[in-house]
Amino acid sequence: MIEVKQAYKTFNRGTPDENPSIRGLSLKINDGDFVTVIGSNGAGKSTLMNLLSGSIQADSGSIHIAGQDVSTMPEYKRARFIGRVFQDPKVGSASDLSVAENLSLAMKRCGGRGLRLANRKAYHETFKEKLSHLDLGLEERLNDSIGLLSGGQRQAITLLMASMIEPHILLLDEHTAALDPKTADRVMRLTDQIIKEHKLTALMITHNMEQAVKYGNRLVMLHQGKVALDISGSERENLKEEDLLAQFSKLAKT
Amino acid sequence: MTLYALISSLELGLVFGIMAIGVYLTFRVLNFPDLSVDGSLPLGAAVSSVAIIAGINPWMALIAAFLAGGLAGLVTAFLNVRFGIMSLLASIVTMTALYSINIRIMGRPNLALLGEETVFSQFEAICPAFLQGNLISLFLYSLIICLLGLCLYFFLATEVGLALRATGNNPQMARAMGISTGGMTLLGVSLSNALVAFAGALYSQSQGSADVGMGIGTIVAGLVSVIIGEAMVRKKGVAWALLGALVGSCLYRVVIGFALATGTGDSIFALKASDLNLITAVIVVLLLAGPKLQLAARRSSK
Repeated sequence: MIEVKQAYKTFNRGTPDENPSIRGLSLKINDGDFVTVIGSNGAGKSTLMNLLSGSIQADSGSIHIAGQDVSTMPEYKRARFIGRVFQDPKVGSASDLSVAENLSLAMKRCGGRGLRLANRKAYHETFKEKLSHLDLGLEERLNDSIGLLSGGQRQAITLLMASMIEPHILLLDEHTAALDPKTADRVMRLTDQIIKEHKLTALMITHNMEQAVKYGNRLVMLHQGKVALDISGSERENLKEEDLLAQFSKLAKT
Repeated sequence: MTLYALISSLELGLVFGIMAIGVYLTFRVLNFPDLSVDGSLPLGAAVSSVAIIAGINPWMALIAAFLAGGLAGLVTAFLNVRFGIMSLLASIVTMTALYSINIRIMGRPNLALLGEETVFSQFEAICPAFLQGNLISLFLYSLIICLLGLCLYFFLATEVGLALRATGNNPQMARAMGISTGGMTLLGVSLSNALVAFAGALYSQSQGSADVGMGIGTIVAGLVSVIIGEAMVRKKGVAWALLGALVGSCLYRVVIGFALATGTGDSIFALKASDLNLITAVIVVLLLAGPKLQLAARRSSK
């Protein structure tokens, strides 16, 4: 379970550029939830994601993951709970390293790195099997540099890396936004498949209302750094794109 | 250029090849431009010389130099990781401080190892008879480099080594994969400076002296070696890059040796040993500008 309590985050505090991004946000995500997060630009979606992953720390408030207070835990230590897929396909993997080396890094996301060989032959069967599920022909390209692959292929691999060791929560930050529509659709279906297969808890930011309604079992709309709407259960199942657009225009007026 | 001069150039190429491998580690693997090597090279020489004069085994002196270099690197990396001081600035600070420290260690700006035991004199004693003169040091350098190169190659293939490479290539992703990028920077910069100090110690043992000024231009020479190596060895991968740095270093010293040998004479354009840094700077510019100049030439010919 993930619990954010009364989180505040202001950027450039005390300067003319002062920008309150998260203003007293509280959110509880239960195990197995697949939450889609929507909101207009500047609503605090990405900041929420960064607060959870630890790339930035909140000014006040607390964050608990799996019963542990991680509020001040550095990003690399929090990685043991968290799998992440970024908006930019180039961010999720290391271009100069091979596909197999990148996947080997993911095998040790929860720590325990030592002086054993990193990219072990013993891993390769698992890698090939997981890559073949992507259906992109990548199982034959274990030794190619990741930099040679397309954005869609890289994003699919990042997804594999994030879920290689089952994370406590999977964070998806508009991870299909930089892809062409066909590839975006494919990566999104892969994401859904992986989440269902491993019964993962996931949080997905999206600007795509269709995605927001089609995937997940719970929807959260952020507005001015707070949760403005939190829909789950049967209400969520009957939710339509039009309803969301109506909510957007309603919030825009306030 | 005489055979003797060629062999001397190769010797220099090999010993500074160790330094070039250290520079490769920061410049390419960690993506951390580190100028402190200009100080850690003479640091290694100073520590090794003082140790030898104090009667310590020359091999132990090399190890002491290695550790001292590692410590210097640790300072640079700590300034960067803990206080967020930009890598270039942090390393310049360390380099500057090392100048004074090196003089402190030696007690004066230079030291001579007259008649002292060195790894070379010890090796000569156990060496087979067919190896003589310059060949002895050439052989010993090759042996040490093979050993160091293999160790480093295997280290970079380990889980920690891969984490180091990921840190340099994509720190954001590295953190998301549970890698302490700060810790890796500390480790990588230390290791790099340790290698450079080791090279300095080995060089001072072969020359029989240590000088506080011997480090000037180290970083540039290291960069040239890495870049020439990349141009020569076009294959990707850690093993090729390590080999490239070594080949680049040797080639660079041979070119310099050749320039100095042919450029002597009485004209005002005759080269002196002190022109080394100018020649190096010109080579760096040519190497870096080369691809752009080629492109411009191709465009204008169309």
